[in-house]
Amino acid sequence: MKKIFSKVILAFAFAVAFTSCKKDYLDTTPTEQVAPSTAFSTTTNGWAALNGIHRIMYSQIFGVQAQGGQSGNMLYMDVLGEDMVFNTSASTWLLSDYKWIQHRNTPSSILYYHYQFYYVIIGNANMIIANIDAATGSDADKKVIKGQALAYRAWAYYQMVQLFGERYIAGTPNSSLAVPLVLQPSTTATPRSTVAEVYAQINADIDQAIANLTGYGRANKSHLNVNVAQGIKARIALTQQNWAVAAQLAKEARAGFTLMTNAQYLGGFNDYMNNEWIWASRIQADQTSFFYSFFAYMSANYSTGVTRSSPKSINSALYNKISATDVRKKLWDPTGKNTAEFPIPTSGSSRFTYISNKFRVADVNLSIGDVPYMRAAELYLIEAEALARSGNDAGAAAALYTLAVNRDTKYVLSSNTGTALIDEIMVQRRVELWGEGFRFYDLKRTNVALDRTGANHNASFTNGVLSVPASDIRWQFLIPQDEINNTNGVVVQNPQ
Amino acid sequence: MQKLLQSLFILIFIAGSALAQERTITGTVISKDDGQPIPSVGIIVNGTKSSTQTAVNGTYSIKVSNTNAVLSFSYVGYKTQVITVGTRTTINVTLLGDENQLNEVLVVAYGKVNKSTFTGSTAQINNAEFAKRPITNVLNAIAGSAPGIQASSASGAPGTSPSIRIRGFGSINASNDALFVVDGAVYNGDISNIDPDDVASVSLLKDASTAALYGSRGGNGVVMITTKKGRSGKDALQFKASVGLVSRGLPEYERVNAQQYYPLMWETYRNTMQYGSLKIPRDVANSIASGLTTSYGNNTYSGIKSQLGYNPFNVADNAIVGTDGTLNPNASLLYGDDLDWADQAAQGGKKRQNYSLSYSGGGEKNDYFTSVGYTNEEGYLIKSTLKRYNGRINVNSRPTKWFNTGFNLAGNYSTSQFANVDADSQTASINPFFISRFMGPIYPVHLHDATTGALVLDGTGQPQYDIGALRPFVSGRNAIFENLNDTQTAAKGALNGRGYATFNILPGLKATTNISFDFQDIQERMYDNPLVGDGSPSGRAYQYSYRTTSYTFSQMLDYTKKIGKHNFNIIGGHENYSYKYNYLTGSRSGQIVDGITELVNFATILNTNSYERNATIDSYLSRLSYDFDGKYLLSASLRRDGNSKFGPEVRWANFWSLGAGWNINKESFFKVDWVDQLKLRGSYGVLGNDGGLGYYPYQALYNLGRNNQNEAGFVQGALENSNLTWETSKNFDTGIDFSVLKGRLSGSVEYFNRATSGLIFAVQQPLSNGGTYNNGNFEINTNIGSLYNRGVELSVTGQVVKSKDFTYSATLNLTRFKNQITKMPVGQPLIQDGTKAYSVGHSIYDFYLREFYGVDPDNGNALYKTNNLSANARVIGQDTVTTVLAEANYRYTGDSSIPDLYGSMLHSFSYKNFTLGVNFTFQTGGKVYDSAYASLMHGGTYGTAMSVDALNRWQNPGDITDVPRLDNGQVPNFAGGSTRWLTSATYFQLNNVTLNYNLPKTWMESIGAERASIYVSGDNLAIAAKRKGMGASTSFNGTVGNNYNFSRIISLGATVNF
Repeated sequence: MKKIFSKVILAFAFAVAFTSCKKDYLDTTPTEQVAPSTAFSTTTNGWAALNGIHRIMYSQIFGVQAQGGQSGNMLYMDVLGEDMVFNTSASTWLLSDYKWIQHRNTPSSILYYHYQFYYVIIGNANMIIANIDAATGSDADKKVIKGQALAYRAWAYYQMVQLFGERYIAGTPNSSLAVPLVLQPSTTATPRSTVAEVYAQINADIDQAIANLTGYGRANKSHLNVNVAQGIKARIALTQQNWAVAAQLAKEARAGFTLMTNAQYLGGFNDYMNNEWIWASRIQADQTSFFYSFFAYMSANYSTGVTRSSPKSINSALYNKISATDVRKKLWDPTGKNTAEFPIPTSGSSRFTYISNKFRVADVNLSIGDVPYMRAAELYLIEAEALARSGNDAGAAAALYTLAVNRDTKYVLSSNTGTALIDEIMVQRRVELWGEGFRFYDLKRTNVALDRTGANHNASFTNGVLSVPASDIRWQFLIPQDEINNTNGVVVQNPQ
Repeated sequence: MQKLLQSLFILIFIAGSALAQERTITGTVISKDDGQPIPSVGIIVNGTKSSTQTAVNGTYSIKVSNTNAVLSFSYVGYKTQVITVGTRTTINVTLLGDENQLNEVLVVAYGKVNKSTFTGSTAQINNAEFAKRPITNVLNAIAGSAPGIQASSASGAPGTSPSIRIRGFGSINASNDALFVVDGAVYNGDISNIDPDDVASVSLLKDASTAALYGSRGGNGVVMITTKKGRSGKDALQFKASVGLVSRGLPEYERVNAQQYYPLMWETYRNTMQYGSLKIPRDVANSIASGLTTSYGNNTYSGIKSQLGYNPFNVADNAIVGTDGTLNPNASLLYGDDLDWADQAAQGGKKRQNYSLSYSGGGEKNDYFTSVGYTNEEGYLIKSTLKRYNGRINVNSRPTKWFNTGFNLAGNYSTSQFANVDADSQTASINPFFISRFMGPIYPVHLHDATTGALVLDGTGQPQYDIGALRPFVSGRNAIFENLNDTQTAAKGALNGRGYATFNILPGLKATTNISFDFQDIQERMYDNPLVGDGSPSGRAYQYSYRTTSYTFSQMLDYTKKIGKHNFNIIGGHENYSYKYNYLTGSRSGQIVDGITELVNFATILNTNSYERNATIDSYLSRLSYDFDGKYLLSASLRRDGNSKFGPEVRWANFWSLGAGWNINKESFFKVDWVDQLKLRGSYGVLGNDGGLGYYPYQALYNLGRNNQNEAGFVQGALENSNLTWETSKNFDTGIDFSVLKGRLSGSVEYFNRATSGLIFAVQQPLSNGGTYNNGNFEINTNIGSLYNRGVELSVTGQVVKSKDFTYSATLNLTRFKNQITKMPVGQPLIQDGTKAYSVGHSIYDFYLREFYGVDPDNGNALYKTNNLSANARVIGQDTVTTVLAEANYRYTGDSSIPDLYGSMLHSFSYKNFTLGVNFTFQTGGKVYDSAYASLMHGGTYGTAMSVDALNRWQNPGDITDVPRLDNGQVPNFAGGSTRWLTSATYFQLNNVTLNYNLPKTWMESIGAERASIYVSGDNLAIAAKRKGMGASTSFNGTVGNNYNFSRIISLGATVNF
């Protein structure tokens, strides 16, 4: 009896156990990730894929501080130029870039960042471009989502070709190698295309983007509307010395945007609601990038190791070129003693001559602040420069006047012509866009040598790099070693 | 009268003989180990069929026919004792533990076996071997315990687990960690949750025959931990206590002092100006460096003090180092007693206490073991503590003949404080090991007046910490202040249950259902102070919750049958496993009220996130064991696993093993009487390895939660590989176990070959194909490679001296193995990974580096070998050498981090009541890439500490040295990664010395105790290695880090049994 009883129990227990594993027992999926098929099932999800790219623009990138999305590029581009001055070697952040070492050192993070950051954007854009047409949803949405993805791809390749390729020279073949043109999701290695080929693709993409984005009303300035796309195209044309297009597109791009007031100009450069800003990321408190933030390096009032010990100054020679009545002159303190108008993060922080208060966080408890990627002022400067370089001095002076008189009410229409006018425009450009990540590109684009002499640069901190000739090999970034390795040499290195 | 006496004598004799013939012998059998009675000891009268067993209280009674009768007492794990009865009627027997271990009971997958009839390869460490070592984590007992086992302790923080590698390295990118099984079920939890005092044994399953039943998870070997159970018979109460002193076990690298440092930095600066692009004449550069010339060639310059920020001497800033490069003889330090950061970081509690109480026993129908324990370990580092409370109940019940059941329930609660030292924060500004190692020797911990050197006191008269705004090394930070004022704490609760019910259906046939449950919940709280560091300026608080829940449910049939001399055991069953991990975090900044670190006391939400991860395995398993008369042994096992980590097409596979053994000494033809045991055995089988791949490694995924302001956003997260499956290892093992001269010499020799195929490579995708915002370029896990680990293991134990009062035994464990890659991805014959590269014909830890050639005597430039005769290169003899690091080509250096030989020596002495154990571990051969040393030989980074070897730098043309010129502009070229940093990894470490004294029994009686002992024990007492400070034993791959260096612990302890 006992045995029968036990067998019954046993049979029951085993039967329950063997049937308990259902067929889907082994099908598990994550809860914080979705399959790509879900990501592009509808245009609603397609918008999320696009917003993901917008977010990359202000994300912590690859675990290296100072690389807070696009703002990392802005920091590096000014540090490599002559208008931003290190007053001390106390903080090593960006110091070896200031010395022009890291962009010529193949394992360095500056190279990996500048290459991979843009390719992450391109990769996400390629997924959208390849998949959005098959999504469920309105054609209008698909057109705009795809248009923004194309604009991102054009912009990202444009950023890279300027760094990793040789300078574009109009009227020449531009046949040296730039970067690989990857235009759809891929798992195979792509060799580098030439500078000319990359610019051709950039122009094709941005033209398509402009077509797709025409008439699109965006939710906020983190989205790429037709103005942004036109602005990007104006920059591209300026770099390609295509003066007519540059001037025309610059003008079109700023339509609807007005220059900010002088009061706004001194407001800390942290709010994308500014009517002059065309394209920017807005960073919320719960999306902070902490010490990757642009403001952790450049602000006058957010307390970090860098802002406490190594606040950056403007080139004193450039400062001295600013008119006394120019509102922009108030952004820097030549005395190093102006405690009233120039905050420092803590009482123990260092203070130097020519330090800046251009960038300030709104709340000193948080590193966040909106980061400007494109302002109307830049487009006036593009228009002025393009017209000046194409010989239209009167048009150039007029374009410049609109901006300059806004910043300095005493400004009078320039009577300069030719090179003198171009020089005046370039000085305006350096002052206006200080700290916003243009200087290295401008020096390379205009084939001008780096010259840090005759100013407040201390040769002790620059490792002797006070000047670099325009022809120098160091104007070209090296390809990160990982790309050479991961493509098994399909991607080749630049001359070293 | 005489006759009468004679008659009486005869009568008595006859009576006596008659009595003898019917005599009953009684007695008790106890264990020498613990004095406890042993139940179920087999007793036979030799040459007869008469036999019996001891009862639960160890007593027996057996009838013998005459005084020449011989009784044989045998019990598994003990030496058989043979006793001639003589005229006695009471014979109490004390059984000795079987020292040659040939009859040891081994815990293996899904059961226990007798070592003599076992075909596999396993090493078992029993409680007695570590009971006297005050360890907090039972894995610390494994180091050096057996051949084929490597253990490394990267971290010495309280409670941390060492890493264990069994028989080499079977994987490159998946996990090399062994599988942990506790009381029969795969364990998900921290091993430090388990009180070593609760552990009966730790078994290391090394070959296929032992581990194949763990299928897709057993490929790296299995560590089986078995906890104690009660013994039927006498109830036992044991109390243990120990106290210890904790100190740093690994010393720091030797570095230059302040007086040496300033002139070296001056020289760096001078050289940078002279040899750099400025090309300033040497005499001018000397003057600029000293701070005497501030303008030259229309440029502004400043002296060395401006580079270093601090002048710790009592002389002017431009009078510290003269233009001849020597320190001003009048310079003396202003605050020389405040420059040692390592010492000020090592101000932890430095003590360890451990108490445990166990009560165990049982009767005919049940047994039980209960324990409670408390451990309080305070590391030598500030704020590194672990407090652990644990309890266990293990009850087994046999209510009827056909049914038995039991459960083993362990609960654990611990709280810990941990400093910012782990793999993720090797160079964090708050890592006290990183900071104290590399802080230039001129920077004080506290704030001092720059002129007088006096401490600058705060409003309450207390010294303040110096955040070093002018210090070029981690300016604006103070790791000691931050660690003291930040909090990082964890509270961990764990519950582990094992339950079973067994039905004895027929004789030899039983069915068992097991349910195992592991639950671990960790609540971490972190707070960054608002004054200095990541929390400034407003303070930040973080909370994390990590919860792991897993269960294993199995139904097993077990059939044992003996037919003549044929012995069979067959098991078969089904098992399913489910694992769930939950993560929840929140953080806020903007502290409102001082002193409260709850999230609600902070103004702004920084981040909230949560997710759940699941993994499941469904399995069918079986095993056959067979032996013929204990002479010929066979075993076979088969397991079929379905594993959720892999795609539907490839997630099911079979894993199996075959084993055979031959006890040669049991053959009739084998008549070598000095050989006690000689066994030949071998096994082959196929196992899998699914570890370290994450939970969804085959799926293409988009990462949620990358919102753009308030608009939902997601980004590409991973690419797909639906063919990805486990790594497969085919394990061959053969060995000889022997024991000779009545156990005076015993041991085993084994050969193994672990061939792993389907090796998973995270194939690095071109950067240009995109990637993720946080990790960079994509990787696709792909099964593409093969490698093998082949080696020989030797373990020999000798009872060197065995006299009445004094014994000495020694064990030597040696392992030599070769690791070699046999197949690489198509199109990627060589994959570089840090200081190593993978390619066919090389081990996974072969160094692949640029080759340092030496230093150019003309100018002090570092020279590297290259294949490219560039403008910076020239030919010297047979070699082309370059001064530009980037032009030097990578090459295999011929070195590996894998030692030629590694092993251990265990010595055990006993004299009367004293025993002394001494354990060494060692390895010979192999190299360490000493990156910490490289960082101390930076050759010119202002503010960073320097090795004393920097004093040998090149200074003037003609100098012959291997240390290049100090030059800030040339740091990447002169101090970059190369063969220059490879250092011999040979080391010899004194792991443990324990001296134990068993108190005399007479003393015990006065307190009613049965036995007691006291001991003194020292862990990590000394290490001899090539370079002071280098952690040669802290990693397998020959890297070093800025880790929590392992601790030396000297303990005093006592054990009392009632």
